[in-house]
This record gives sequence, structure tokens and C-alpha cells, in this order.
Amino acid sequence: MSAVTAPPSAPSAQTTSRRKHLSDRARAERRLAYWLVAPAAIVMVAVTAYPIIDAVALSLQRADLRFPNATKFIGLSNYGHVLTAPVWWQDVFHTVILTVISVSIQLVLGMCLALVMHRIIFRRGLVRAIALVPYAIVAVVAAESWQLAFSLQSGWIPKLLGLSGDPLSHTFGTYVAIIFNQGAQGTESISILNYNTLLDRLNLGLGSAVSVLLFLLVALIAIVFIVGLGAGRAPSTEAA
Amino acid sequence: MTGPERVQKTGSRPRTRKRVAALLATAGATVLLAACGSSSKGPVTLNWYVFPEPSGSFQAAATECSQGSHGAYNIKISFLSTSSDQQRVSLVRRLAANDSSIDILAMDVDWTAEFATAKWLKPVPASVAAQIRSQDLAGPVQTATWQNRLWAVPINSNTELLWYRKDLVPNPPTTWRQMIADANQLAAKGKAHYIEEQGAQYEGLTVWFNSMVNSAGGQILASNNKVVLGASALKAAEIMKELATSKGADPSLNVSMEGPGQVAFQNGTAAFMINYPFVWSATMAGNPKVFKDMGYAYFPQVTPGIAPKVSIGGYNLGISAFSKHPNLAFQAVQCLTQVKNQSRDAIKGGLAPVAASIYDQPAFEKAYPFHQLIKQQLQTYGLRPQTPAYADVTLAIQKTLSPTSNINPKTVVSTLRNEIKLSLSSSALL
Repeated sequence: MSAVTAPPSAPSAQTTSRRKHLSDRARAERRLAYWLVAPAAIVMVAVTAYPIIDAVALSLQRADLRFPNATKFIGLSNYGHVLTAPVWWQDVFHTVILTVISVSIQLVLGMCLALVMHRIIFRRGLVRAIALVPYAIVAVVAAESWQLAFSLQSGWIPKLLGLSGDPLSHTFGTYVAIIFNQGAQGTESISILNYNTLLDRLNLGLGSAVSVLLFLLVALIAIVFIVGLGAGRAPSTEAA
Repeated sequence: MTGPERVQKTGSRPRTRKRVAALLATAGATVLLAACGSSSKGPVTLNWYVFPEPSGSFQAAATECSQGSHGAYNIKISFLSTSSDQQRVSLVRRLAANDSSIDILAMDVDWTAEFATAKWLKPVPASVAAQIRSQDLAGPVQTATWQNRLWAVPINSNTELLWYRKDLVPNPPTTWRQMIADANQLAAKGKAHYIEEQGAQYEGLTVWFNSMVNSAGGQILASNNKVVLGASALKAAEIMKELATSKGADPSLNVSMEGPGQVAFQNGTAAFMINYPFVWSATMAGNPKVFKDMGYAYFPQVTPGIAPKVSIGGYNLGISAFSKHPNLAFQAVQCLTQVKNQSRDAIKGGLAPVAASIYDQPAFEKAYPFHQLIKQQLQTYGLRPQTPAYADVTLAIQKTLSPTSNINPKTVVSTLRNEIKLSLSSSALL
């Protein structure tokens, strides 16, 4: 913006005025843009920043809805309890396995699908839309329907594979099921641990500590992705 | 965006405004109408959240009580999930949000301490409490009591008996060790010999362990929230492991729950089963051949000669602290749990009653030939740990003891102690 107000060279009067006119318009548009974006930005801050700050604050307390009179500041104890619990490391391990396997499979299958999409000859829009429908299915709905599909009494998958035991009662079977169904959105097992602690057992302090650790883990992955793989430098040349 | 497009949009603005105004007016009118609706006179709606009761006995009681209130209230039943854990989650979420739409809630006997401490319940008024204490059996009343105060009104109870095959075992065993020995003998003769118990990693495993600890004369948790466990817990865990590693163990013990256990018994592969009274009518309907030889006895003893203390199940009706009509709700609960309705729940719905007098009714004796055993066990009862952190404590027990065949007697009690202590201080990640 400073370049516009103090041009390095001295161009002709005509160009200067045109540029000034343009920059005025640009500035007005930018201002309009800020106004247009403001509501979304405020909502974003309200629904993301506030809960994050609240979670950090809660994670430093004994905050348990079942013991309303015992709420107190306990420093980093909750983090200590989470990081020394075997179930945390177990779930981190599950999460890593699920992520590595499902991302690899998704990458290959996704690339194949993209190439096929690219070469569609007829009804391009329709076929692409059909391919995208699964993305619109809410994860919970998909998970429920797959659970039904895998259930021993009524599911079609055990019947199809001729299984007599419940495939979901074995760790390996569960991995296979999770990977092929929902493509394991990154942090499912830790998320479930988090969900159970927070919402089933109302332990807000300990649950928030898990949330914060989960958040840091995701942030770490994002940083590795952007810095390490150069995703941040990818040019965005897609024309509208 | 191009110029002409903008002009077009400006052109359509007035129409849009009109439409918005119309929408707002409609919304406003709806709100007003809704407000009118709620202020109109008529019977107060009392929402009763309860586990699904398939026989229709609860619905019949709710209808009759509503009619009997002469327009004071109308009980509306909302059925929750069949799973007790799911019921708790549904209720807890609403209560934690101070939702006033629940008036009466059916609480599993384990939730009393949690719900009372979280200030989600209105304590039972003294006059009602006195009446309940005189009418109901000791065990069920104790499940609804927390810190010497009655927080809910018992509606039905439950206790596990020993069911056995009279054709295979003429004299039922009286102790656990005897039962395991009988199973081994039957196995040696090549006869059906399994002992069906709830060994899956779920609440049933806590029920089993608690019955064993209490029957050994001990406790998991004292009333002052101190962890007890000790020698009784060790003995309990040892017997559980003994069963799990004996010939009497069903290969599916580690995933076995009440329903599958009953099916195994009715299919004739088991000689013994520890289970709730529902198995009587279920086996009668499922396999008359096995039912013909089906016997029942007291829950086996852990210490020979000492009567067992069996974990009590069942439900109590609490009144939400956020209910707008607590007094009417208590009236409704008294009606729903009166002897007439409890006997219908028992005879039609198979729910064990909490009122002592029902155990002497001829109609009940006919449906429940083992009624005296149940009554006895509900008087010499065992209670699962009473603590606001029960949801954590039971998970800690289940995780430590499952699978029962892998219990390590050297470490099991200290592991349990640590895990339960963490649970009590909200520090257990489970």
C-alpha cells in the first residue's frame, strides 16, 4: 500500500491520476471486503478462539461436573495424568497407524479417481457430482451406517465374508473397518477418548487437557505439512 | 462482479426487504402464539424419561395416574435407549445444561451419588421418604440413599440367582468352589458343564466382582469414600480367575453378557448360570425341554457358611432439580410406584418389585416361583460403590479385571486401588 502512495518513479500525470483513481476504488473495495468478512471473522473467533482459550483454562483446573464443590486450580496436573496414562499412548499409537495407512490408501485411490475424473468424456458434471456425494454425508451418518453394515446380526459385511465372529471385536478387524470406511479423519481414536472423558464422564478439566494436547498434535502435523512439504509455497493459479 | 449485475441487484432490493419483513412478522407471531399456548390452563405435562418398558406396564401406570390426578398433571413418557450407559449419557447431557424439560427421571441404582452431588435432584420430601422406608425392602432403599438422605423413589429392583440343570446336578452347589468342582466333574463325564457369567468388559463384570467382594465380607469403597478392597478383593479376584481358567468357563466368557448367557443355557451347553430372573420366562419360551429341568438356588457363597451379598440392580425415580413442577412430580412418582402399579410391572413386565408386601401376593408367587430367594437377597444385599465418580470407578474395575483369565493375583488389588483412587480425584483417564 505504501508503494501506491509513494511511487518510486515519477510517472506522467495521466498515469498517476489513473492509478490514484484505481487505488481509491481498490481501497474502497478492500474496505467493503473487510466489512463483508467481518461477521464471518467475528463468528470464527467466537466459535474457535473462545473455546480454545476456555479449554486451556479448564485444563489447569480440577473441573468435574460431578464434583461441583471441588473445583480448584491444579496447575499442570491434568497434563501429567494424561501423559502418564497407558490409554493415552495406546490411543496415540492407534491414531498414528490409522493415519499412515489410510492417508497412503487415500492418496493412491484419490489420485486414480482424479485421473479418471479428468478423462471423463460424457456427462462430466453429473459424474463428478456423483463422485463427490460421499463427501456430503455427515461423518456420523456414515459411521452409523457402516456400524450396521459390520454388525454380526444384521450386517451385510460379515455375511458377505462368511465371518462367524464379530469382526469388530478384534483390533485388526477394527483397523481394517475404520480405514476402509471413513478414511479415519486423522485423530479419531484420541478424539473418542476425549469425547468420552468430557461428555460421558463430565470431567471437564482432564478432558480439556486431552483437547489441548490433541490441538497441539494437529498443529504439529500442520506445521510439518506446511514447512516440510512446502504446501505453503504451492501457487494458487486456479482461475475462476 | 460486473457493473450491470450490481445494478440488477439494487433493482431487486425493495422486494427482498418486503420479504424479510414478512418473514420477521411471521416469526414474531409464532413466538407470540407459542407464549399463549404455554400460559393456557390445563393439566401440567410431566415428562418422564425412562428405559424402554416393552410390556406397556409403565404406560398403563402413567395413564391411570394422570387420570387419577383429576386434571392436575399428565405424565408423558419419553423412552431412552435400552443401554444403561446410553440412558445416563442422554440424561446427564440435559441435566448438565439445566434443561427444565425433564421432570421425572428413571435412574440406574448406581447414579444416585453422582446426580445428588451434581445438584441435579430434588431430595425426596421427609413425609414421602418415611413412607418409602416403611414400605420398601432395605436394599433398594439404600441404593437411593446418599449421605443419609433419600434422593429418589425405588421403582424396581434386581438380583442375580444361580440357575442350574436339575438333570445334570441333583443338588445345587452352595459355594463358588463347589460349583467349579461340579463343572469339572461334568466335563470329565462329557456332559454339558459350562458356567454362564457376565465376563465381558462392561458393567456386568463390576456387578460380578462387587458381589464377590461383598460376599467375602469386604467392600470396594467405604461410605467415607475410602478405598477398602483388601483380602476380600483378592479372594474375589482369585475365584473369578479360577472359574475363567477352569473347564467350567464358556469359551466366550470374555465377551459374555446377560442375554447371550441365557441363550447358551437354553441351548443346553451350560449346567450353571448366574443371571437375573428374566431368564426364567425367557427359557420357558425359548426351549421347554431345558426349562423342564431348570432349577434355581441362592447366589453361591464365597465364604462357606456365610450368606452372599449380591449386587443390587434396578431403577429409582428421581425428580429433576430443574423441574418446574417438583411437587406434582413427587405426587406422580408416589402414584407410579404404588403397590398396585409395582405388581403389574412385576407380573406383566417381569421387573422385581421393591415393595415387600408384593412378595406375598399369590399372583406374584405364580409368576416368580423363586420370589422368596429374591426377597432374601434384596434384604442381605450388596451395594456397588456409592460415589459421584461411579462412572470412572466401574470403568477402572472393568479394565483391570478384563479378561478374567489373565487376572494377576499379585498385582490386581494394588492396581485396582491406584485406579480407583485416581478416579475419585477426577484424574483417571480411562
